[in-house]
Amino acid sequence: MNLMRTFILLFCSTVFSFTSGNLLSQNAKITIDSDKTISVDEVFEIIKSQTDYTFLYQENLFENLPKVKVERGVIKTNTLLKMSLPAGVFDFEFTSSNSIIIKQIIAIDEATTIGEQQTITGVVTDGNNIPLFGVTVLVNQNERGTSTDMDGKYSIEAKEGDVLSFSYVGFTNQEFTLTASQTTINVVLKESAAALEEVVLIGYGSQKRKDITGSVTKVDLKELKKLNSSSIDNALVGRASGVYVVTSSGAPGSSASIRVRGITSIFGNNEPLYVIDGVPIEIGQGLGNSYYSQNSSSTLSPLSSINPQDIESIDILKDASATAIYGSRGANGVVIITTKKGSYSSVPSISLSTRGSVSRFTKEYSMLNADQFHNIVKTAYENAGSDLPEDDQLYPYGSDVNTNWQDETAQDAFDTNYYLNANGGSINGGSLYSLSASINDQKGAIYSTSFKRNNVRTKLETKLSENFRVGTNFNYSDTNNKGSNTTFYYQTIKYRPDVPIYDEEGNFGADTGGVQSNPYARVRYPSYVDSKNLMISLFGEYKLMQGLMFKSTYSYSTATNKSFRYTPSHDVFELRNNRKGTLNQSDSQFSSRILDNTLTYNKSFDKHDFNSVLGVSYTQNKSEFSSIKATDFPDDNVMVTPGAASNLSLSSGGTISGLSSYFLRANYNFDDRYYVTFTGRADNSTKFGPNNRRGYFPSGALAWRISRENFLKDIEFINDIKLRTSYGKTGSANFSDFQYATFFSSGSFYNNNNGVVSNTIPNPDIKWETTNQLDIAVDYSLLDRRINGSLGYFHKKTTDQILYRDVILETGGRSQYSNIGDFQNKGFEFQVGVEIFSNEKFQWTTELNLTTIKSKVLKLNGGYYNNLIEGESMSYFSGYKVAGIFQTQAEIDALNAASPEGVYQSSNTAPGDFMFVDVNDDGFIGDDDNDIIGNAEPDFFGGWNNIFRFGNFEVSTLFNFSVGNYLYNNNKKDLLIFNNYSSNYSTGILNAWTSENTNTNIPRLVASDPNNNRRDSDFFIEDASFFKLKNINIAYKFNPKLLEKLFIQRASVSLSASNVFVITKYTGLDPEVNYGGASNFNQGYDSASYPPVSTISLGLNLNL
Amino acid sequence: MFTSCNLTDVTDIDPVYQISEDKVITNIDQAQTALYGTYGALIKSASYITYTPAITSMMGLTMKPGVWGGGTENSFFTNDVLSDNYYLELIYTDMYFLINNANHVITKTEILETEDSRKNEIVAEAKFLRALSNFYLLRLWGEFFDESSSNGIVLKEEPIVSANPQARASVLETYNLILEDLEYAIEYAPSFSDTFYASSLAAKALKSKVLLYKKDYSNAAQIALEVINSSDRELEDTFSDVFTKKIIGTKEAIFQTPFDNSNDRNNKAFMYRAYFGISDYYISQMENDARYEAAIAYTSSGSARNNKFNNSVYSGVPLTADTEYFIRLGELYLIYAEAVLRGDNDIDEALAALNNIRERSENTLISSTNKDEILEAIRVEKVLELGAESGEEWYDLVRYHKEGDIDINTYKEISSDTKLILPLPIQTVQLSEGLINQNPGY
Repeated sequence: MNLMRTFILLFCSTVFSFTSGNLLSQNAKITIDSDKTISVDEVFEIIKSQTDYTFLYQENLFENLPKVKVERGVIKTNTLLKMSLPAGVFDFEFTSSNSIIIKQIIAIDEATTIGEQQTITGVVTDGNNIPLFGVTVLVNQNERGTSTDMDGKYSIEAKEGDVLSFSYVGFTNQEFTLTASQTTINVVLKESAAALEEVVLIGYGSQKRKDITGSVTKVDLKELKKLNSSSIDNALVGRASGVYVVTSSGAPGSSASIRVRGITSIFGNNEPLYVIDGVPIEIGQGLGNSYYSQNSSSTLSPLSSINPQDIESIDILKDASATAIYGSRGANGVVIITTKKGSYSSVPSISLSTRGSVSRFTKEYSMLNADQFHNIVKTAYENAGSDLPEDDQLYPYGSDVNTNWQDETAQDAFDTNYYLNANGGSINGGSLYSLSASINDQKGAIYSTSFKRNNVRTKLETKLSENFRVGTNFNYSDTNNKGSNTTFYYQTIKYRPDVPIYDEEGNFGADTGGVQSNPYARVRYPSYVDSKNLMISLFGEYKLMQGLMFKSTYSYSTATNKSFRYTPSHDVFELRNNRKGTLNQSDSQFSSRILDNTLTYNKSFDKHDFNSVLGVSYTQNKSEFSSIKATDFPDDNVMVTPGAASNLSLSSGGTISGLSSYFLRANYNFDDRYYVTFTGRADNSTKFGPNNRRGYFPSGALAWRISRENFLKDIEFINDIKLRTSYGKTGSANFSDFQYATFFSSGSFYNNNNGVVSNTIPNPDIKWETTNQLDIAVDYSLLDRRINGSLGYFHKKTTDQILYRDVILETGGRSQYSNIGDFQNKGFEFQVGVEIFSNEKFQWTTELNLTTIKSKVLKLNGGYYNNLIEGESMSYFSGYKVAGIFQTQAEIDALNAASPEGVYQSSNTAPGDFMFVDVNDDGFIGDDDNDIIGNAEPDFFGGWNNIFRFGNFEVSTLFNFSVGNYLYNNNKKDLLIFNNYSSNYSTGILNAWTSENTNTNIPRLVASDPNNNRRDSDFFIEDASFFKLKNINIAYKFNPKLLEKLFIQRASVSLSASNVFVITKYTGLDPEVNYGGASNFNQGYDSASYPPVSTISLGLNLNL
Repeated sequence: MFTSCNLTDVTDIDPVYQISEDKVITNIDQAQTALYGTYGALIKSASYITYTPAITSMMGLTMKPGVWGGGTENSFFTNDVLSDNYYLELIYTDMYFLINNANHVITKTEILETEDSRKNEIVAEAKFLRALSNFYLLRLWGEFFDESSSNGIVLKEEPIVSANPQARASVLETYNLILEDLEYAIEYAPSFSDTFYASSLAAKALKSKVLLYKKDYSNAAQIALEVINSSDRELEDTFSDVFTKKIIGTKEAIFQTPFDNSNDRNNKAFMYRAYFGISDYYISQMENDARYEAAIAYTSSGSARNNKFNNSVYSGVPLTADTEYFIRLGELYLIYAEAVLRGDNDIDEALAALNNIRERSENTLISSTNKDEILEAIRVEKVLELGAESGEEWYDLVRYHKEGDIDINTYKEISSDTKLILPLPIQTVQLSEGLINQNPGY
């Protein structure tokens, strides 16, 4: 095994973060603990573990050297090296940058020394044209070396005849001999094995993938970016096992709901904790689910302020071992996002990309035209035995008017994006910078809906002294979003087709009986959300001694949101209420300041490897809001500001919370074989009373690299197998502040005096919700590392879940929050990546992930919320069951006769109506016949990604799927079952039951729905299992030689399409929706408020 | 504070825009703000101003469920209320909410070290509100007609710190606390200046009513007379003036709630049209009374409406908001009449007080020398004068029935005397860990 040798390779990050200010002399003392015989590689390891030195040398240099005998005691570095390396064959020198460069002394070829030194530059990329960062570039094996920067660029002095070698962990080495004219050498390295050395970000630190003991999914960012999503949450679909992502709608700027291993909290928000460049961000400001869902229409998710193109890595922490370091906020998983960082290159790397897309709804409803509409209205009234509505009601604008509202409210949905990025730094690693700016301008498929974002970002860091490094991050974005939370589509299609856009006088036409203006007018009402986000942080990092580092980071983030919604005076509802325009304006501000201090310690000796992080973190969050409802404006266009209104009402408020925390993580491994991890965090939160303020969240993990044991060592097809398990506790405190004591707030008015009253029934015992999670998994790498993946089982039990509990009424209240529920989520996660073909001409890799989750309410202990039932999942639907359609009166009479009430379901039931199932067999349909009729939770879900490469082309296809989940197709209720003539129906209603058309499942047309066919029933609950081609991306790389003349290093074009096709039985527009994503209990609800779109994009990337 | 402390003392915070219990009353101004909040509890929900008067008037004679009313409302009309009734829970809870806030004001203001004379006044006003609420709770849920009964109400004299249950006090203990609070209010509350706030006069008026219920008739008469003779209030010139003036420039109201067109647009008048109508009995009684037109109106479609709470105007804006007359001087005359008759057998005084009211309303005067006849005339007069207002006639029926003056079943069919009071809300009984007993018969 050559795993041990890889540590010697130069990793920029390692070198520069661990470089000592006190240059060790070559006389630094090395302690040998016992007499032994060791390999040269082990010598290096000893030196490395006891000094600051890193090594630069060619990978296989010492393969055949004899072992070295060392004696217990103290020896100088210099001496030890001399002992180990045969004189005359190797030479070594100590450099000023704490590297020891080891050279093989070779016979000097006179001719080559004559050549003139010149600067050789180039870019090192992988087979996918992605720049490789940190590739070791050596001249003549060991003469001198450098490494590539973030963009894969390097620059080194060499002369004709020199041999340049390129080596990188996980890739096959390559060598080139310089010819006279060459000054540029671009290298494509081929992957040699699974990226075990890949660095994975975990809380407050990083770890090599091979050393991970918990469940952490690293998202393949270059694949993720192919989705061209404007926000990162939507792009995570199908990328990671255990992570269920459902886009809320097709509106520009809409968010997605993300559940990492299921729901853990009822009042809390179940979105994961995001840590963006070290700053924890809680969706909904950590104030709980009701706050989040109430405010989701007037604020934008902080995630939408980040341009996905700025992101360098995403790691998703799932199990207790990985998330416990975030303690009370870790129960829903943690998503760690870092943005791009500068690189060690004096030459700036500038990249420019632009993309244009066009979108359309994946599917639209076909609606009745005015004639068809009038016909079914007439039939329905005849069937009901009632008089037809008066002509002025039935034909408000005459019988000739026919408006297709879908067409009248559509717009061309173009999306344009520009992104500019410059990365660079000083070659000695002293300073690094990364700057970027971007513009997104996206239009939705419905008139006036849009998402616009301007974003600037910088990351700077520099070395103040050998041991002291400081840096700063800055990210600002302003975003304007129109219509992401509207129900435009739904309102549009249902509007009566016999109303014109304008009446004869030029006023907007309107359904005289309705309360809504026509869709053409409505989409023109001013309505937007403006959001400004700022994240800044400053850090200082000081190396106290070998292996011991102190880092302090101060971060501040703030988000302001302004929501503006104006209903003009000509609106039907305004007219009816004698109002001249209504403005709803709300302003909110959230700010968070965080001080993190960490101490990291790493130590390796012999086969022992130890690293740890100890830290304290202080967080304070504040939020404020004010909202204004203003009515009666002098005009509808100019003076629409609260000050111009005749009537104002205002509400305002805010909250504050603090969290101070101590945390520790210690990893130990022996021989890369046995691993132990302990993680713990103590949180002190102001959300709880003095007795329950402190929460402790410990976790432990064990891993065993079984493939290193003798009994597996010789099995050839096994490259690596690691068994791991973890158990631990995380918490959730994601609900409104200050429930533990009595507080007074204003708003109790009396005779125009504003008084204060108590606002809570205090529960002094309120405390954290606790999630205990067990994780058992195996990570594997097989068949020459062509098959890699993991398989795991998790079991999450949440206790002390906060629910409402009734209280005695003498408290002056009815209920209070109390820790009483027990919930459970368990399931399997499976992930595999296979390199199917890999030859010079054609490569095909495929990656599949699959997750099963079952949630269950274990105990409610007298608490309640919504429709929760012990023993059931948390997201089931309840309603009546439809047995079929009554075909004859005799069937109805028979059931009525058998009913103790004399009526089976309704006295007006007639053939063509639904027959509901008498679940409790009492002879009639009552409330008790409501039953569980479906579940929004899938049996399993996942993603399947394929990458094909041939020549300069690369094709990626991402499929996502979900099986066994049900959707409440609310549209069927309004579009297929007749109620009255105030709204339009889809053409599907033409297939309604009649005595001639009996082979249908759509009930008869009847005015006022006397049988209540529209009641909640399984007619509306549909199996929404689907298999979807989520995205296909075709990229072409231009030949670098062609580009050189244009001063362009690299260029590629890509064509991609999203939501290409879907295979499903679901009859709604698209099975992949979640309109109530913000609410814990409104999952799986399809109201077609803004259907998903399919998008075709064309993108161009240039690197200067 | 040092910057570093600012950075790290993140948990040393107080909530914003809300004040913790220990800081809410540290001076007189804050005590006044908390007192306003407690007053606000009178109008924040419809319990005091709409539901309580409406359900008692339905239990009594003058109201019935309105066109939108359903079974929940009707159960009061048929005097057969179940313990899970929506209104029960609402009214019971809201009244304890006020009591809890009054307790905050009382206990926290009492310990303020200040010479400010408002200190005692604020405590007195809060005690008046607590007494009012306790009296309302006792009348609805306690056996107020039997001083020896153990079925009083739960008495809260301290702010709650948790949801732990507490047993009911006896009826006598309840009366004692109510009277103790009122005596404090009589001594320390401000003298009368405004109908919206508790005053010494309002405390006397309420005390006379409490003593009447407690059957301490002589004392009730004496204190009612003090109120009548006070120069602060006098009867309106006409009966209809009471309901057209409402809250502006009134002469008669002693304690009532305000309303306005911004923060307090309560919906009382609408509720009195939609959910709570006037009873046929009341209409038939009023038909031969001079107060008929002022009390009852008819819509264009011919349906009868409670004209006492029909239309209000605030700053020129017509509203469906209205007031609640907790006590107006008119009632004091009738309390005095009954108390002086029962306690002192003073027929002349009783008749004079009764006729004072009949004279003001331009009805024929009553001339009788028979005590029982006059007692009955006073009860009937309360239906005519105070009907469809605050349900006073229901308690009169109960008191007269318990005194043996009448058989309540002559007026309302009541299945059992246990139905003379309401069942405690089921939630509170179930969660009380056996400490709170349900009323007998429920």
